[in-house]
Amino acid sequence: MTMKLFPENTNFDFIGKSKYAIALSIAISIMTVYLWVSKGDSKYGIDYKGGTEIVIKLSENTESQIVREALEAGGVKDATVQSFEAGSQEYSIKVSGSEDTTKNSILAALKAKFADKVSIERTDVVGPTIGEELRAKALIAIIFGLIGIMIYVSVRFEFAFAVGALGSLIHDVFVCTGIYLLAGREINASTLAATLAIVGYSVNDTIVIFDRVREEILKTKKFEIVPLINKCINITFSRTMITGLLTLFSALALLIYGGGSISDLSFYMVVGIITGGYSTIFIASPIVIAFDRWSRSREAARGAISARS
Amino acid sequence: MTSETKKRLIIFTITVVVALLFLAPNISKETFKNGWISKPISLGLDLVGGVHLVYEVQASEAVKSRLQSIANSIKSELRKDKIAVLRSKVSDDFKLELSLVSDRQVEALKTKISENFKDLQFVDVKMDGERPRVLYSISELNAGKIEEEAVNQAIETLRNRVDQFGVAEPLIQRAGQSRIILQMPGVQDIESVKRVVGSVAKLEFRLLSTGAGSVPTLTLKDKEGAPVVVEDEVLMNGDAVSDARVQMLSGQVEVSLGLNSEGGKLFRQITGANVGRNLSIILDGVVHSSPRINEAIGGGRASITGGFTFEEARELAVVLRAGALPAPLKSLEERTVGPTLGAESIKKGIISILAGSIFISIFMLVYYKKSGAIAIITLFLNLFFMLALLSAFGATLTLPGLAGLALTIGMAVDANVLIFERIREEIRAGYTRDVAVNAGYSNALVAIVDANITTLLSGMLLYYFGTGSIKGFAVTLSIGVMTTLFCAAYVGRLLFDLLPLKTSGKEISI
Repeated sequence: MTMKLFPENTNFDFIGKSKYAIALSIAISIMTVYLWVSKGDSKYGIDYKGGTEIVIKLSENTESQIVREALEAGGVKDATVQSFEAGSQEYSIKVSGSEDTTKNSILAALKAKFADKVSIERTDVVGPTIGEELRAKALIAIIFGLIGIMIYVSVRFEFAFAVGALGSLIHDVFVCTGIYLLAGREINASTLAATLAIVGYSVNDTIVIFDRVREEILKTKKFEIVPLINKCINITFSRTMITGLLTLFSALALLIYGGGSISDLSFYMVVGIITGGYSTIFIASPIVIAFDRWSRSREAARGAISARS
Repeated sequence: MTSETKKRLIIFTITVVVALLFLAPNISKETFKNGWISKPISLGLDLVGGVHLVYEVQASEAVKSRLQSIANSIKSELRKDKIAVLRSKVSDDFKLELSLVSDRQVEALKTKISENFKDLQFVDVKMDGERPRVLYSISELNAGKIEEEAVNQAIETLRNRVDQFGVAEPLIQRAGQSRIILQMPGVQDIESVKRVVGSVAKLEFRLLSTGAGSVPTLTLKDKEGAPVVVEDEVLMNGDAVSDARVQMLSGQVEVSLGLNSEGGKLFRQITGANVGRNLSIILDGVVHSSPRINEAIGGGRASITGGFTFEEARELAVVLRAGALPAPLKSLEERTVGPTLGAESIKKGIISILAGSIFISIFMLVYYKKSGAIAIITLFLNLFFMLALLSAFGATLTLPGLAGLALTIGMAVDANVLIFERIREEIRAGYTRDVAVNAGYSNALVAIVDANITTLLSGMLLYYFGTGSIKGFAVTLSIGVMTTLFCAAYVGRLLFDLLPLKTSGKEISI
């Protein structure tokens, strides 16, 4: 017997249900914008705004509060102390400002309190100019990524598909970033990597459906766009879910076992793989349909105008 | 076996052999060293631990100091003609200002400069009462050349200094217009690195001012911060030094300088002409000592004393041996990774890859049965080819790179799922095994290529725009796309042809 997770020959009305999905996505996107604006510079990690970050490991049980107090006793104000990895005695200490003295006074304060029970795992000091440059570069990279993929899709498929792919990718970036910020994570170099990876990955599912739509169009000649796209989503549904699930396994493995240094990257990937699957079904195709209708009506209008003249 | 299958088998075998050759240095570094087609995969700083620094060469300072030294030469040239330059000043916009005693000397100055210092362009003469101030500038082109030279020379000097440090495989790389990236694996003491690498080490010898006469002077500070007045003219600088060593002399640590032949002559001449005066030895604008000159000193040696600790003296000797930096460096970024964190990261990365692979393998085996086994074989072959390509490209594996490997496994299986789902569909439509497999492959392949090219695009952008260890993610992601395409389209197909995959009473186990 062939094993199946998802029934074959389904005819679920994905397109019809997409309005609820779109409403949800818009709500999350509004939250993203709100978080992005209200968090100000505090949403950036030190890579993107400059500052000092030190990761320490303690050989005795302690709490971040005690580390914070030790730092204050050593004259280091406004330090953010967080557990670096759940279940370990590793802490990350972040202070904005990248003067040499910041790092050295943190180290001195830690030595004074914990003596040889503290080991310095990592130190990062980033100047403010680099941070701003990297931010600008990251934005350019993401925009180029989106444009590049749009060009590719419009060359390989029709322009309406490219619009759909672009819409769903922008959606993914918005939703992922919002959830990422909601989880209290910082925007840093890993976020850029994850965003680009998700942009590249998420369009996969979309392309698979589009590829199928193209095939069906060639096969049937005469068709109605909505039921046709809906049929293609249904045909590829099992595949969309399975591959999403398998990639999700990899990303979850990274999130669970990969450690603190890449937890931002893996978290974003986990969220992105889920939203990528979701947007393929509920966002990309409705945009294609809407764009198709819009351009048809425009052509009709133009036709009417030229007929009149 | 069809001829098509044979062809596939031959190409596959060749690929595996080539991949093994590429991987060989990772298995035995000794046997396959220099001259071999590939190098072992190197581990990034985040995995081995070490120091990462980004410096900006303040190249405009090099232009200013070049102007200052031109000013010094002009002064000594004019002194021969009994014309005194009262003051010389270099401004931030690369203008040189020379103050003279009377406007009758302006023409003489202009002739001198147009004859001997062609890089300078006359700008203006301004009068301060009786005294003219003559303004010169340096062309943008020339300034640009000096800046470019300064960056190159700074890289050269850093390389010399880092060599003195004795680190295996340091990385010194220019980034953009005026930045230098320095990585030293295995080093932990970043402060010491910064002292040795980041200090300018501009050495100057000037006479201590006697306070008499109209000789232009300059007020500097000694190590305690007390003011010291020295003469403006630099008699000798670090260019004269060929060697520097630490010496213990009657309980005091000193840095003994060996001078090159020109420097030795110059030093003998300077000391001979100034017996009885004090010679100040200035390092980066700080007066270290001002010993009295008792007689002309030959033999080509000088020494710097001034209350060093042994460690300070050792670092000073290193920087003096390696030569001065043409311009100060500004630290933009400094990172250290401890050795234990690196080792932990490798362990965690490998565990993640294995955990992901095992999850996926179990799923594929349960869901697609024997065909799932094909997917698993291609998955591990994929990993094998990825490592081979990393070796072939001489790429550096970082922690995000390991994450890229883990994710590629998830994405690579996508290709298999696409094909398998398509084959299932064809079988449902009533086709026989061979037809279904053929149709499954040819129909799915277009989508697989389309889907992977977009990931490749993202990977390349990330490589171009990303920095540091994140580049490693871009590398493994991009390499993963190539191997995935090969494995899915070629290897999987070959395995389908070779293995019958028949179950009792059924055509294919999928």
